[in-house]
Amino acid sequence: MVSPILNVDSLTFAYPDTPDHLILRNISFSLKPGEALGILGPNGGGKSTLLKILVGLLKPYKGKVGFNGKPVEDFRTQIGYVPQTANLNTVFPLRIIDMIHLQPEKKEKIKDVLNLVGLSGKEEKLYSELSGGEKKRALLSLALIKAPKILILDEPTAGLDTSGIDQLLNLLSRLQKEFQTSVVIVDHNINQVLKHCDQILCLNQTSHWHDEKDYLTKNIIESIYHCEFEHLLIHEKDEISEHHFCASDHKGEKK
Amino acid sequence: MNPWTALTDFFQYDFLLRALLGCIFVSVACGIVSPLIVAKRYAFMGTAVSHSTFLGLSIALSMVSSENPFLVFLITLGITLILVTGLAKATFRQKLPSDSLIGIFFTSSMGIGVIIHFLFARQRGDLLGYLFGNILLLENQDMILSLVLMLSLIPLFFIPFKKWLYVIYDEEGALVSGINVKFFHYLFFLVLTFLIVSALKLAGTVLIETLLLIPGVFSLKNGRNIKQVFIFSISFSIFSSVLGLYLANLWDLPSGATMAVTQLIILLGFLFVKKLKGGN
Repeated sequence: MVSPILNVDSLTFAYPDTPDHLILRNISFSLKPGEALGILGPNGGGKSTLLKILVGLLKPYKGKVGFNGKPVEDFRTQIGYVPQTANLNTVFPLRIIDMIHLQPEKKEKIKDVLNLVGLSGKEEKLYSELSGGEKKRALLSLALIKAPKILILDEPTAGLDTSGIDQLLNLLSRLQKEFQTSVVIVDHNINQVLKHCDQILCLNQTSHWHDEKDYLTKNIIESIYHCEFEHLLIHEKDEISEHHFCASDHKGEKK
Repeated sequence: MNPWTALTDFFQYDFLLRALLGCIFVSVACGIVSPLIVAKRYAFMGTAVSHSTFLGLSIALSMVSSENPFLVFLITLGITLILVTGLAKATFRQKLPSDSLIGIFFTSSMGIGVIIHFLFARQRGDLLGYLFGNILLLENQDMILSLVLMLSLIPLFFIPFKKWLYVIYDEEGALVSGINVKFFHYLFFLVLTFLIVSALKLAGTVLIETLLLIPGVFSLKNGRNIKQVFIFSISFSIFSSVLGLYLANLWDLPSGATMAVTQLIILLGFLFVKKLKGGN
């Protein structure tokens, strides 16, 4: 039996200045090599917090996170982290090639990685002049140059069109199959996450659900989001530009 | 004054030659650090550090005579470093808006500095000279300090250059990649403090900020890649500061203020020409 690459055991988190306000409560799951875990949930549900704990930016309040039985500090060279583009400082005129050279651990050849993400021949282009999809792929190349055993992606499909999302998810599937890379995705795109990932973790602050994807029902998603599933899908397809309220939406708010 | 005489003065008078050399050394250091300050959005942080030197300086002048510049430098540096370490600690990956913290820090440290100077060191040094720079205050030791600073800055920035860039570009990504972001945060404050304290007499606590910002803004506006950014920044810093010093001598103006205004005029000139050519 293949042993998991990632083990999260009874993880609880609260910020030190507000120890009574739990952001995550008693979360446990594991991920095997080549598997993909999708993390879903409303804004403020703890998705990004969990991700920050996984990559070692925050310390758990209680519980354990282990990569192949080791703490994250001893596994950093094996973790590929793709942040949200919004968090990056692009004041410096960084070319794609400069960006990749920022990575201290370079195990793969730059040419191979750029080929893999479809940015071959664009090494000299400035990051700030890339399209949204190209930016995502450039960030992915920065993570992939480490030849990571686990890829952790923060909202990788945000700002991408349908074909961009397909290309990105196909690339992730290829990494999973060919290199047995495990993938953790935090995303708002429920359809794509459900389609692509083997396991789903639904988070809404202290309540969560995690099990085999096939057992995930509409009711569970509704209870996590406090919102009708169809409502979420409408938002996802961008058929309406502004938020609207539905029957079970956000109790106490104006309808 | 005759423009030619204003130029040859630099090789006839020791204090002007010291000012010229000190100016070149400080300009190289400012040229290296400036793009990092601008890109990291630490302009206000630079102001805090430069103003906090005032407290260090007041305490130093209360303890020793200004005729002992090296001791004044050491005490100022030591006290400023203690203050700045607190600032670095308070601003490292904090949720609180650091601009309020920085504002409180630099106004209060400057206020205490003025009181200490008023009470204990009024007769021991002209504070105005330290506020706006006065090349007449420069000694051989100041020049040597500037040279040592410039020479130590080059390896400090260029050996772990990619790490500096990574920390600025994506702090969290750099942390995940195993880079000691905290070390670079503190090192940045340390370098900034050294630079500002050693440039006190040349540019002053208030005007050094200009020399730390304008080369970075200029180079980031014009550089097409990282190498160009640093070459432009260092070249601009040296050229504009030396020109400013020359003009200060030519028209008998205060050195720090003339250097700052010269840099600003060159920057605005470039931006204007760029705009005319249709650039951003």
